[in-house]
Amino acid sequence: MIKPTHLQLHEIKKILADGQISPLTLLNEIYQEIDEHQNLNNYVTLTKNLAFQQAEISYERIKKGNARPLEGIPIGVKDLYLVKGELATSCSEVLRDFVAPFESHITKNLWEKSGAICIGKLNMDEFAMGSSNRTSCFGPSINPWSIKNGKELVPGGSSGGSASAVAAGTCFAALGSDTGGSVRQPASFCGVVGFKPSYGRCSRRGMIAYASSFDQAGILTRSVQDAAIMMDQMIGNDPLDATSAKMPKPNLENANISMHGKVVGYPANWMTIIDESVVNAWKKALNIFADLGAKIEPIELLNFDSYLSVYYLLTTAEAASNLARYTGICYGNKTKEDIGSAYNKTFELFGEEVKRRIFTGLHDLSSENYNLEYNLGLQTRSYIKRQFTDLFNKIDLIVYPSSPREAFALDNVFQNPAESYHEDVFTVLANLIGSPAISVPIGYGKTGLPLGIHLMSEPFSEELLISAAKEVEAKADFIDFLRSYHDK
Amino acid sequence: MTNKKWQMVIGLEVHAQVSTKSKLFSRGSTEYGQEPNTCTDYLDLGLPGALPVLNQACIRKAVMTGHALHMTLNQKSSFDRKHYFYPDLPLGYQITQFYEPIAQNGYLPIWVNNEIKNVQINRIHLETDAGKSIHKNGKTYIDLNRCGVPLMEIVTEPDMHGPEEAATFLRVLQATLKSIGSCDGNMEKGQLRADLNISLHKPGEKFGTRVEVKNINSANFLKKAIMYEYERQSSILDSGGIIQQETRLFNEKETIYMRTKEDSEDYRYMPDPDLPPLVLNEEELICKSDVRLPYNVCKEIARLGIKLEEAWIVAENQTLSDIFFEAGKGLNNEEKLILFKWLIGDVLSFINKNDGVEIDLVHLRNLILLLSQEKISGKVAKDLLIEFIETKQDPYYIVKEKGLEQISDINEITKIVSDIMQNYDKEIAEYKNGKDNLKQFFIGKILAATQGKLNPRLTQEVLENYLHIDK
Repeated sequence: MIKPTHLQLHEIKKILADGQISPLTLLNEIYQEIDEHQNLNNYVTLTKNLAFQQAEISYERIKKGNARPLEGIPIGVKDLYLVKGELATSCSEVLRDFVAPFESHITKNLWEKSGAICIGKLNMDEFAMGSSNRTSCFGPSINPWSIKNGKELVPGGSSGGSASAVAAGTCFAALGSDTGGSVRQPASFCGVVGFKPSYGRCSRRGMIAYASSFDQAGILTRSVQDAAIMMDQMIGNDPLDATSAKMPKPNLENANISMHGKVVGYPANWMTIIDESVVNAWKKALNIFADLGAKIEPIELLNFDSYLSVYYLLTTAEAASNLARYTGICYGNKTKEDIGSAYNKTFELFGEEVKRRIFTGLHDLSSENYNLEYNLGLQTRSYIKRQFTDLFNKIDLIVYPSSPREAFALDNVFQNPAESYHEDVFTVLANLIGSPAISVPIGYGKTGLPLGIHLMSEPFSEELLISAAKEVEAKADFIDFLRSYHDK
Repeated sequence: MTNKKWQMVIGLEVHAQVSTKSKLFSRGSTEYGQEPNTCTDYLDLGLPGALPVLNQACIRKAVMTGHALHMTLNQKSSFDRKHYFYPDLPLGYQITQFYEPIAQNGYLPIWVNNEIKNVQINRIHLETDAGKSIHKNGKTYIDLNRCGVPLMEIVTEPDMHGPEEAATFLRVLQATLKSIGSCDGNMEKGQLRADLNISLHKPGEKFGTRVEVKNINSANFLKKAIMYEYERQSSILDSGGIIQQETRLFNEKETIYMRTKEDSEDYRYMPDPDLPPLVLNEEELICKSDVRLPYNVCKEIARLGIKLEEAWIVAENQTLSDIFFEAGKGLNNEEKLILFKWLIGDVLSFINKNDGVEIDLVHLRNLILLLSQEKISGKVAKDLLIEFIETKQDPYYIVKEKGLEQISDINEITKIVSDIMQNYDKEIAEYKNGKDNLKQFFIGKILAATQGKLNPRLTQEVLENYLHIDK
């Protein structure tokens, strides 16, 4: 029999609601799982007191028959969400002791309105900057698929801990955040679903910022349906986030739009430059849509490096600005030896990658370079947005791989920082234009590790996107980590 | 103080605190004088995860200010981050409107030598204030109560040419903002502060290098700072030196060097990605104050033939100008003139001595009518003013009741005057021998004997006649 902890979220939801398992029992089993998977280094903080208090309430509500939509379901939280009274470190030395004085909008709703249980905070790249979870001050999170070839693999990033935990069965869903692919790329690496809605769908209040005009909450789950159920609880206007969208809420759980007659576009000019196994997985997805009666059309996009440059130009500038608050007056370790001004004391605590992006951002924003760099980036972004607005008049869905490759080894060394930035080549586009996008497991690469297919649609068309994702998932014949290694 | 050789050009950047209960982007209180660090929301502390939420009240007040200063209101404006490192700036940046301000291109009418002059205003933008660093006992303490307080920065063109003019501008601006309620204008509480830009040039030549002087918090200090800079710069120029473009600080006596342009920080302005552009709808755009604007009051009073500078005494004082218009209802220009003179004289001094006193404006109008119709004398009116305010009785009633009515019957006056003058034969003789100033002595005696009830104009005439009959 499958362990309850290995079930999918929509399955455990039913079992909990039926009273077949108590939220407290389930929570104990989850913490046992976490304990057994310590080697994955996914949880940086366990919030046991909070979790058991919440589980008590869930138990009572289920007994009384007034269960909330996610009553009693244990959820992991990327460590950049503020959960009141708990550590929120963004996996940086700078915030190592920071205890959140208030609760993020999303988690508040998840606990209070939806009845979910907060089990702990998940590992990530420092300030969400990275694609392999190796920039965390707590050390890297490990991909559970590592056991396949005996070599430690990265889970991807920045929501690496979230993707790994979901894949390994130490939570039913994990909150991630996605600035340039931080939910979708690790989902692809770990063989799980990673979904980022349109920019503005979820409130950013209480999420530690990386690049404000790109950051968006995301969710990692073991099925598209689970992602839909979770996102239905996360989406909603927040008047206290000025960039939050005032749009009617979608119904993703029941989304069921037919693919028949829909136009699916794929950037044919990208197909020639990537690995064959990845291309094969891509073609498999296109064939699924063709079989469903969709019209498959090649489209011409810019070379993906063009999008990547604009993305890094703008995000590093926003990051330099957003991180200016960690000045050493209120943050940082005061006992460290004197190395100059107060500012530098904190700056010294940032990891190498964060420092690199701050410097790049400062350079782009300087009055000398503003027009040739940052402002040019803004203008190019507007141009790209217009280009895609036109494209979405003709195309319903854009389909291509989530990542150019499978998960790589933890000890893999990039030739230079720019090479590591290529991890995001396919995913940054959705953040540049504010579109919803999802990575769904589609098959395996040349070393037998998971590959995800990336679906993207027009902003605020999540119902179409989720409908399409459900169809791909159903026909992908992908067997996830738990079913591959535990529940055969 | 100034000489003909060097002319000065002055521009001001005025920081006016928008009078609201909470801050520009947070729910922190703007209350003055609270315990340090008690009026701070998460954003003011720069905590991770805190987001700015625009306070709509600030927008309404900025729009009203824009209209009062004859500015073009921008339907779309936006907020930018201005980065600099300072311990009392927790976010590491100030939120301001660098690229697209809320209002542009306007003017404020002031006067120079009794002529109206419209001082050109370049822009108004909204921005957040920083916190306060307090240096004490070799330590630095930080109070973030002011952090995030809403400010309007009102930037003039280099359009003023002397200390009086600049001081007048500041006073007129202060009164204007107070009258529409967009800024309380209390300079002691730092609600209105000015940075000065000043340069010198020879007549007919192009403007010289400008020097910025920061931290000026009163009209008098503004005059002092301008005069100090004029002296400093002209003496450098006279001795063949050149003026450095620099920023100086005013310490209430002199301006002191702060930094040159080369050391100034690169603020790395960028559009704030947490705040979408501010787009005003039609209704928000036309949000105007319906109060009488002090500069309009000033012009209206001046039309009675009063100097603008004098008219301003009433115009800048909300209470006095309310009285002027309310009590002046139905009065003709001559009567309004009398009202004006009484306002800046006895009424003002009474109000100053009796804080919060209520004056029945119908009664005041009646007093003015009694005066203009010469039914009472000025001397009687002085006492009557106090009496009608204190007893809340109509001056007409008091005059009748107490028989204070002025005697304007020429025969009666002639009789009274001759009765009194009979006691002063000796003085009359001296007067007739050429001691002219005795005339005032006689008037004094007559006024005293009649409690000022005689019509002064007629009394004067009668006395003249009396004294000259057999001269």
